[in-house]
Amino acid sequence: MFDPFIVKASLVTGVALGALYGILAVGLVLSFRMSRMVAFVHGGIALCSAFLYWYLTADPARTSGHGTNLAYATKEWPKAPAVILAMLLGVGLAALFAWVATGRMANWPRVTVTTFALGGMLIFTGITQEIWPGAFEIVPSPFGRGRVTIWGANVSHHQIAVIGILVFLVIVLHFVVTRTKTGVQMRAISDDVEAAEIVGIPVRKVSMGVWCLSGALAGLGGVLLTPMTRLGASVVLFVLIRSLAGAVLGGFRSLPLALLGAMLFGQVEAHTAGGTFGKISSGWREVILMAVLFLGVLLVVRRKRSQFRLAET
Amino acid sequence: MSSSPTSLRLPAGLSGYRPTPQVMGVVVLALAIGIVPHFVREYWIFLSTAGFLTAITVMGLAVIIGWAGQVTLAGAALLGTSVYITGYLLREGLAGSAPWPFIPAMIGGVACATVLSALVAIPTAKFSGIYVMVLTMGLQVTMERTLFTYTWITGGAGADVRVPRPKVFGFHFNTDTRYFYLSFVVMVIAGVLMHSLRRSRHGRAIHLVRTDRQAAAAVGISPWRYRVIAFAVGGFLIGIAGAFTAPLYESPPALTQYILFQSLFLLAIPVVAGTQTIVGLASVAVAFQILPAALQSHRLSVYLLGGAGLIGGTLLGPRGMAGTLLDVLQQRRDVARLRQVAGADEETEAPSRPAESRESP
Repeated sequence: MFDPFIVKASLVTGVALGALYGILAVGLVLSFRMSRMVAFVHGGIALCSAFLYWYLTADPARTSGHGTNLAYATKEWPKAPAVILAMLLGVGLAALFAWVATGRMANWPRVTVTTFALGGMLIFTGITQEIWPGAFEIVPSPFGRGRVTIWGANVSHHQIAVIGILVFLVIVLHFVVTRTKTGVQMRAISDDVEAAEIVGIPVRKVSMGVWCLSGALAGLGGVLLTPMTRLGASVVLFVLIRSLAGAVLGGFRSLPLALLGAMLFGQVEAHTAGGTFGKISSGWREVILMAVLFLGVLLVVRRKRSQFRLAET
Repeated sequence: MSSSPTSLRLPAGLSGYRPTPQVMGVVVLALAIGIVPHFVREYWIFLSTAGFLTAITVMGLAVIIGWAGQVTLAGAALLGTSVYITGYLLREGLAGSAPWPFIPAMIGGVACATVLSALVAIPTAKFSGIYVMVLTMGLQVTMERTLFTYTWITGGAGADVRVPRPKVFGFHFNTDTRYFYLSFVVMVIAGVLMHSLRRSRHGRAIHLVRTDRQAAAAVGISPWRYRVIAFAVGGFLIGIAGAFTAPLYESPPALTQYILFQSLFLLAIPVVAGTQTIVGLASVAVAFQILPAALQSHRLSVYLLGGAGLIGGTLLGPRGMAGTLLDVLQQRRDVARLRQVAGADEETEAPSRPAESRESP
């Protein structure tokens, strides 16, 4: 029988994990709606921002390359300015990428521009690996090390903050998308780029703006993710895949469905790892998550086909 | 002019033969392959061997990406599967049996990669490109966390675990130079197979499915079936590369060679080279294998090389570097031919002009 304590603890952990995946998934959906590409580049942006945040805030004595390499002479800055700088780096990298992607590549096939995004991700990852080869660092949380007990589960301040940030983000985005002129322009571009251009919407300007926002979210995602795991290229990429899976469940278009997908993945991961269903090895956990992802894609594709048939009739 | 008695006489059938640049290229390559290994350090021979095997991997990816138009991000997972399964069979055999000889072990590794690739394609062949990308990325991570973590299959990182070099029909490929030639021959065979398949009925069907799904369906070609075939052929070629990679290192290769980043690095090669010419693909693959080592003093990261490849290849367009180079050569040839024709016209027209002028009023 299920242990209620484990179930409750896994539920809370799942919400925090889902919120983390959700923040990155929101960025992925936003950039997909503007450029029709799966923004794998967000993985590279998140990694660069996370490394910058770590470099500015970590204690140099606790880094793996302490005393051997200048790149590990971290700065111990206060956390808030470091978070802002990391997000600004995300904005800058996303703007740089979007400058090419929304310019000459605007009408290129979707798979081609997505391959371009993969290239961007590798380049940004390569830059971090050039500076900090093989780094696998402990990152301090911007919200300290405090913990509280909620519903029997021991939850960190960091996890609570991640959930809070996602809720805030959802409210702000909902307001922007439904109540502002920019939101209407975003929806128009997402629905039909040519039509949006014809009615005089500054497509490139709006797209760049949205890319910058998604870059900031990717940067924030990197900063929030690494204190929960560790700072390393493979870790960040691993979380990006979870976020991608969430975005897939929303068909890369629907923000609420993407968030729901991210939450679902958070819950499945937390319950399989936390022991709700007994001890499951990390390999089997991955197989289960892959199966969920596959079922999600199947549902999305079926839904799209039925919508297409309805439109035809 | 009479030829001297010692000069080389071509057979009568070949007397007017002028070798094309392709034939010249093949002759130069064959000479280089024959001579170079005797003059370079073993390290470079080893790297070139790895380059040939990467070329076979990339041929497999080219079938999936270039022919079927699907981007797979599980290239390293398929390669790793074949490497580790072949290595396991060569070391341990199956279910307590004695270690298997190379050919059966190779068949085991290739079969696993082929089946895995086809299994991914069966449900995903009807999906659009980006979903295939995400799902194959998921497969890659799943393989990293499942099969590649079982040290009893992979052999772990222990230096004492040996994977023997193959002995085929009594001939032991136990030196790097011998293995270099073996890998080169396998690469050539893979290239010829790919070339023949592309020209075959099935190859044309795969291309048609990519170009126009509806037209393909209208002429009785099942897009689903041919996409699955393309994935299976791709998996088969990657499996071959994996099977020959297993004994290359003589010990189990590190897991880091088969992670997602490696898949992206491999993907960059057909994107840069384009999938138009097999020689172009193979050349870029060998260059991608050798460049990071050759530029070691400049610390050329494989991530940066792969990223630059993906970005550069995407910007070059679907014909890639090899296709663009061929286009430039073709353009130069056309210009030269036009000039030749124009020159010939001028020569023929020059004497007739006075006559024309006489006839004109």
